[in-house]
Amino acid sequence: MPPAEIWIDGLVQSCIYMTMAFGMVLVFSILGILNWTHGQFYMLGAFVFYYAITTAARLRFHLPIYVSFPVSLLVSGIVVGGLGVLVEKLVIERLTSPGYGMLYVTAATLALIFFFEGAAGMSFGLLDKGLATVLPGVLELDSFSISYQKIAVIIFTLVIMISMYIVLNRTKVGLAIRAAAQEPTAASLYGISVGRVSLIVMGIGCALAAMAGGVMAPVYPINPFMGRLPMIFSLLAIIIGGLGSLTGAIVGGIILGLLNSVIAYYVSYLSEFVLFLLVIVILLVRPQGLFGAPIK
Amino acid sequence: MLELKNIGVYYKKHIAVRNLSLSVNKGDFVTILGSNGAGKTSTLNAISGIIKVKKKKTDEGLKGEIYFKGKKISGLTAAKIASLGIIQIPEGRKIFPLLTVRENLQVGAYLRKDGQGVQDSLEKALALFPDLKDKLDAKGRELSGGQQQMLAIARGLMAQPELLLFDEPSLGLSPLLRQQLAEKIKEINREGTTVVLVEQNARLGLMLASYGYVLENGELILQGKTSDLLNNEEVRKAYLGV
Repeated sequence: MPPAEIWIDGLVQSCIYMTMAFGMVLVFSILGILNWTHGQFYMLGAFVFYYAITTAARLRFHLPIYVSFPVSLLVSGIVVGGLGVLVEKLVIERLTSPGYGMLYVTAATLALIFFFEGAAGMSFGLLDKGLATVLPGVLELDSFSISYQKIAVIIFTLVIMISMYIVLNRTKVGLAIRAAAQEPTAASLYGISVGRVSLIVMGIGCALAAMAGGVMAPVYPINPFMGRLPMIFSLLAIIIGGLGSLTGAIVGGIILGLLNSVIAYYVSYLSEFVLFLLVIVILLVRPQGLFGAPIK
Repeated sequence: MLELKNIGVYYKKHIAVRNLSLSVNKGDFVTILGSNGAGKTSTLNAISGIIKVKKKKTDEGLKGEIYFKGKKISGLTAAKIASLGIIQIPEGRKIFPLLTVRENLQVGAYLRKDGQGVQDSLEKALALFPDLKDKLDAKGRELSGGQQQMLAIARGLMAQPELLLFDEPSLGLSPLLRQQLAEKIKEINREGTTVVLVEQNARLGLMLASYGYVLENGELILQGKTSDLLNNEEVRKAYLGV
């Protein structure tokens, strides 16, 4: 049995994959596309968070960390969410209109990976940035210890996911999103503009990715290419959970994070490879994923 | 109130409706009859804005103009047309399967801002369809076919429509349920809502409506008071089987 620290590291990874996968599935359920740029919104979120929190410190706002951390997180969500809305309006909406096949938008969102990575490299530099001093310290418990940074990741992810549950199930916007995901034509017959819902979910999905990046910024180094691996793993989480299921994205994300950490504990090299093999085994047993509808 | 002027509906491979003109006055009960594929659903979807106006580049869409209360609505989005008071109860009910019955009804009232009015409408809809009362927290997909049709209509009523478009509401219902449904639709019209009913079941349409249009292969072949249509030799032979 791996030690508690391995499970905690896994849980921290689970938090990113779950938040990112949730946003991707939300976008997929309305727009019917996979946004391949999702990992770059995660990266941009980390950068915005980094600049928000360091700027606040440099300007000597003297905000306590329990204020500046969530505020910076919110800023990164809003800025990058807004960027997501722009991408939907300027790129995705045009390329998914009648007359364009699926491949147009796929190529476009793949191209955006390199656009955002290049733009980030030009603006912020290629070297790693770190925020290790933001939440220093370790909480010592009887049998194991956990850093405050990791506690923050877990707490803020919980807050974000609970907020999402409330937005989707208790607000009018949430009702419109769920209705448009289930029966888009019927939803439009009752005045729900599916175009507007598309903008909203793209904003929410990208904000979620950004906040995942922000919450992770103190734990991992920040650079323009940090979004690639989490994106691949989030896709894997979606595949395990079942494409189209929000519950599946959450459960898939949790399973994947834990698996990844535990496998790496036993086989340090090739651990990602073993992870992919395991996912293939899961798919052999359940081709539709854990929560997906059966494939006809 | 509603005016279709020489509309045509084009799909990639065929023309669903051609040269159709039709008008509906406030308070009317109009039926559009025709066999499968005659262009009835396409006509309703053109009115509701689900079929977009044909552009030069595309080879499918709507041609011609549609007016509602003197205002041109062809070219507006479906959501905008709904906000003007035209609500369609779509073919196959199109219930939101994972929303509860209550949420389905809330979607119907999506555009309304008058909280108390929505509450009143909910009570009225439940009075009209008492079966739904015990099902408010059930998911849409858990309802029977008949209950789903009731829910589809109740959802439409929640929008407080001025003009209600029904697309084949009797499809898949037992004769008894069909009879009940007919009475409900009649009642909705009596209370002041203008109704356009598309039906393959010509007998039902002619029994309920006061004016009828008959489509065949996308073209209007007959129109008139339903009492006249019921006695029309052609209609009797082709659609009533007598």
